[in-house]
Amino acid sequence: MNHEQQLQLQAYLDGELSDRESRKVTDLLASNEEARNLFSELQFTRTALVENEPEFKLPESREFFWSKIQREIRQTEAAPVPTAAGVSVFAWLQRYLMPVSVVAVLAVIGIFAMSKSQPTQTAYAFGEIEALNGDMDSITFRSEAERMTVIYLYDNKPEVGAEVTSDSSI
Amino acid sequence: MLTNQDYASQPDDLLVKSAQKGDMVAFEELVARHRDKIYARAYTMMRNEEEALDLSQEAWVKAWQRLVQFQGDSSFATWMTRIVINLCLDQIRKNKRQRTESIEHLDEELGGVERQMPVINPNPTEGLERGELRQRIDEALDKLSHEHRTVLVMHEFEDLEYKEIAKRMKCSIGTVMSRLFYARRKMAALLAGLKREREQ
Repeated sequence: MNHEQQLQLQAYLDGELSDRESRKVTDLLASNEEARNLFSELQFTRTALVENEPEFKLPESREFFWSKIQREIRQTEAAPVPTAAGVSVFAWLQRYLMPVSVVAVLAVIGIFAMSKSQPTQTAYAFGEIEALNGDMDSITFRSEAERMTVIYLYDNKPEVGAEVTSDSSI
Repeated sequence: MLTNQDYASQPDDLLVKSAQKGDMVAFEELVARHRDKIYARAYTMMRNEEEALDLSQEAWVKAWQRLVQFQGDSSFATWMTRIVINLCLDQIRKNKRQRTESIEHLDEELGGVERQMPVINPNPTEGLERGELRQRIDEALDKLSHEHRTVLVMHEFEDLEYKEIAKRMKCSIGTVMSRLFYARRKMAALLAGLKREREQ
């Protein structure tokens, strides 16, 4: 008899098996003496325990034991206890808002880091302007309403000229 | 206004209803009625008088605090017993973290020992007086590990199913079955040993 069969035997005794599993165990009991002896041992041990639970008396008088319980109850009742509503709101905050705020903080950090590492279109455009010939200077005007940027280029000398670009070219 | 005699004659369910409304005298009557049973359960599990006293006291305090949750689905005594069992399980877990497991205990946990034990035959409890049998069972229970004793208490004394025991002990049903099997086999061997000792 293997250990699995031994445990099945016990489960049968405890009424924990399905009908199909119970039939397997009854077949085993009918054909195997070792199984019958083990079943008998498990059975008398269980019966002895169920019917003869040891009894113990509390070694303190009724009055003394109660006085300790009463004192403990009064102490715990005197201490401030969070209200059920307070507890549930805190639990809700902990469960839902804290993860959301963590995600929000991470998102802000991410956006900030990206804005630092990647120049915006406008900044890139200004970068191009700054790379112009050192003898030249420029004044840039951006109109959001017209979706247009006007870059006024001029030489350090008093000559003037103008160049107009649209968004698609910047 | 009820007198002490009136409280003593009230059934549990009426005392519980009064206690749920804040009547401490009704609660005291419930404590007096069931204190031995609750202490006995704690003592059977812990095998230590001081721990059993502390845990049974804690169970009564918890019961007062949670009394409004008691709906009467089971008897008050059963509800109370479940509270003290849970406290004992927590305490056993705490104690376990602090002690080193012996090699013998680890072997028991692995579940190899019980397969080598010879089957006990005839029944060593046959013909014994009830008092003596209880004493022998108590002595044998004392020799089991906390885990094996606990599974035995929950199955044989509390009549809990494997699934429920597994849930309370935070282990698998397979572990419950192995522990119960070992505990029963060990109990049978201990009872037979005690019988032989008395006969000599």
